[in-house]
Amino acid sequence: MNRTRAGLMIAVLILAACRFPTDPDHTAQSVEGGTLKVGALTPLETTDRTAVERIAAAFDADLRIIENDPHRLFAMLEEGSVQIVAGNIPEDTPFKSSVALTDPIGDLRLSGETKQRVLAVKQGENAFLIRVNRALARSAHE
Amino acid sequence: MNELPAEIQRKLAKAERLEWWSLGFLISIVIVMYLVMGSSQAMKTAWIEDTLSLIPPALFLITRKLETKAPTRHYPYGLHRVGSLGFFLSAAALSTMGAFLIYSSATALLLREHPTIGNTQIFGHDLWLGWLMIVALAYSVVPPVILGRKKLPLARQTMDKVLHTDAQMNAADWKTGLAGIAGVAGIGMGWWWADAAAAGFIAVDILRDGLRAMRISLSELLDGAPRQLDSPDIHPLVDRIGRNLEQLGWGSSVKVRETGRYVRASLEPETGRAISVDEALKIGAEDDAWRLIVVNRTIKMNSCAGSDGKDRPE
Repeated sequence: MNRTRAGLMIAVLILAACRFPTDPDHTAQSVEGGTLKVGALTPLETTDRTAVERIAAAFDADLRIIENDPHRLFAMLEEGSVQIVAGNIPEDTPFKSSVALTDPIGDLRLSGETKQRVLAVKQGENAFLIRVNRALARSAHE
Repeated sequence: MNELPAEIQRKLAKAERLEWWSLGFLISIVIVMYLVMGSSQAMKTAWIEDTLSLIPPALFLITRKLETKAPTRHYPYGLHRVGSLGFFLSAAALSTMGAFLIYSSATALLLREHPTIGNTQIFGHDLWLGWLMIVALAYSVVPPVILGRKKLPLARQTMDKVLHTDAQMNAADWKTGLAGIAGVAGIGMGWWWADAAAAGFIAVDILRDGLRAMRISLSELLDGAPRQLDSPDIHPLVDRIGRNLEQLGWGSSVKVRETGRYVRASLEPETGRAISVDEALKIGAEDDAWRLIVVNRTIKMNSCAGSDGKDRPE
């Protein structure tokens, strides 16, 4: 009896571990096979555009790019109506404390300094963030 | 003051070794936790608690160096209470930090902050950073719990308050580790609130440690009667000494106070003033005669009055 219970518990743990981590707001699930909505702060340059295309491909999703002003886009990111905000975002962006940033996707020249270029995703959507980072890492290897 | 019985000295030496081990392990824990610390509030709180728990071992070792110093003209009683002073200051720091961490985890809950933990590359593998955090937290539990259990009996035998609080904090460290693991695992499950809730739990623990240590050190700094190590009750030693000294029939009450691990008893009237201002004038006090209220003299006994050798009336 005890052994079956222990076995069951291990099975549950392994099952849980496979889905680890999960998104509180199910971003990864909602994008999978659907539409990846990207908020663009500026008309997307090649680096940003390639990155979001790779991510959309990894999720088997159509890509829709929505241009708008920064504050509206970050509000949309927060409420989940876009999943990524892109467009010349340096890794030390002042929005840093209210969004989560992906791994670097390239360089960015900003006021004479070279900085790492990143994308912004919603805070706490950890499964989505990891899958985005993995898609970016794969494209970097290719 | 090095008139400690050989047995107690041996125990203190053992405690010193354990505290050096504690410092070594704690530093390694603080480094490991720092390396994997992401934006988890629970992890940050556990890290702060581990960093703060460096203070008691360090205080114990410093106290051991200072309390054995011979009395000087400036410190005629030696420095027995230096540990209590340091203890009080660190207790105040601990309490402040605990209160601050409760505040910050409460705001994280109220502002519905969703903790982000990404992935990392380790040995060419891509791994969720949360797993590393859980491993680090599990490591952070083992050495303190083992050392804490070893320190606890030594603290009782040597009547060392700093060592005792340190041992208790260490022995209860598994709660912090478990709460931290629960917080990180909660993030993995998609429960954003689990992290701040776990952090709040750890913060309450820090505050409680701080307040308890503060109460223990305050009673000594305020010339309170010797207390038991793990409760605010008066130590039975006080009544034992009292009974034996009262039998002398000198008609004064027996006052006992604690200086570090030592106890000083004195036969004085209840009111506090034992000699009149006139008497003080004769002793050599002048305008400030009112300040001299007691003159003590050590009494010698042919047969041991106390029930154990440590009771040395003064």
